[in-house]
Amino acid sequence: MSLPENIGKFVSRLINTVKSESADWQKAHQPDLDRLKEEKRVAELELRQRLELMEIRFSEECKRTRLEEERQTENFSEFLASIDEMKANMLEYYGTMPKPIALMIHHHAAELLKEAWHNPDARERLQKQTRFTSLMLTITEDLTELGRDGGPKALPEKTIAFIQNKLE
Amino acid sequence: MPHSFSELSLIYVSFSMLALYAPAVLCALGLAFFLYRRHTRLERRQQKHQRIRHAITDKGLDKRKRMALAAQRRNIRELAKLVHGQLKQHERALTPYQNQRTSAFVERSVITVDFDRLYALHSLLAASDATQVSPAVETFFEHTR
Repeated sequence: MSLPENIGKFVSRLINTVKSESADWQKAHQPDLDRLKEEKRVAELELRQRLELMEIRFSEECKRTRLEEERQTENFSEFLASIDEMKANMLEYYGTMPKPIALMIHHHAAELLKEAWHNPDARERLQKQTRFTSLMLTITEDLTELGRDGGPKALPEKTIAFIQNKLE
Repeated sequence: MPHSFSELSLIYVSFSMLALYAPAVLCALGLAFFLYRRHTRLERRQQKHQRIRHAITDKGLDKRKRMALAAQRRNIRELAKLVHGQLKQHERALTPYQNQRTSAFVERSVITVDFDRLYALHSLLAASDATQVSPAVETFFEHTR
């Protein structure tokens, strides 16, 4: 008998043995197998249900996140617009103030706003938020004083002092 | 009937190749399956959700950053316009090289939103008269190099 025929016979014998062993084992453990099948079916149902609930929760969360981001962007754009408006007001009310000073105040405010919103460190962010609020309050104070005192002022002194204090 | 060398070698080489490569392929497949099944379906969905949420927040952050940059650029462009005016005023007092270099510096400052240095240049040009402006600009570039 040739070598390939020997190998073929050996393989077929092996397959037959494995098949019969498997059939015997299945016969002996049929109740257990049925129970496992049922448990698997129930587990799959449960999983599907949990996944459906999860999907609903996730889509709600995504919707919330999207809305929150839109709200934040809107607020941010309002702050940016308020900085632009502040610059225009300064140039209007302080007639003799050199324009670069107004531009410098605008730049400083924008930098602070960026830090207050985008700094990864929460503590730093809070500090910058406080500082930004103080700067805007100081600017408002300067502009209010200008209207109240009536006397013409060349520069928003408090605002400049506030910025210089930071720079020093 | 005795087998020829070529017949035998064909069988043995094929089997030895199978014996060598099959375990490696099986191991790779097993590893891939293990890595895939390491997390449950629920965990994988959770991770996907986290990725989607991060993408939403990143997009929002990116948009706000771009808005801030645009506002700052608008502001610094106004300063650049003033500096260009000053340069025109001092055109004769500066060498062509200094003129060109200063203009390039102004453009670069607008692109990189380098307000502080542009403001410094503006102050310098404002404080210098026709005789002082050329050495002043030279000194400025020496310091900002």
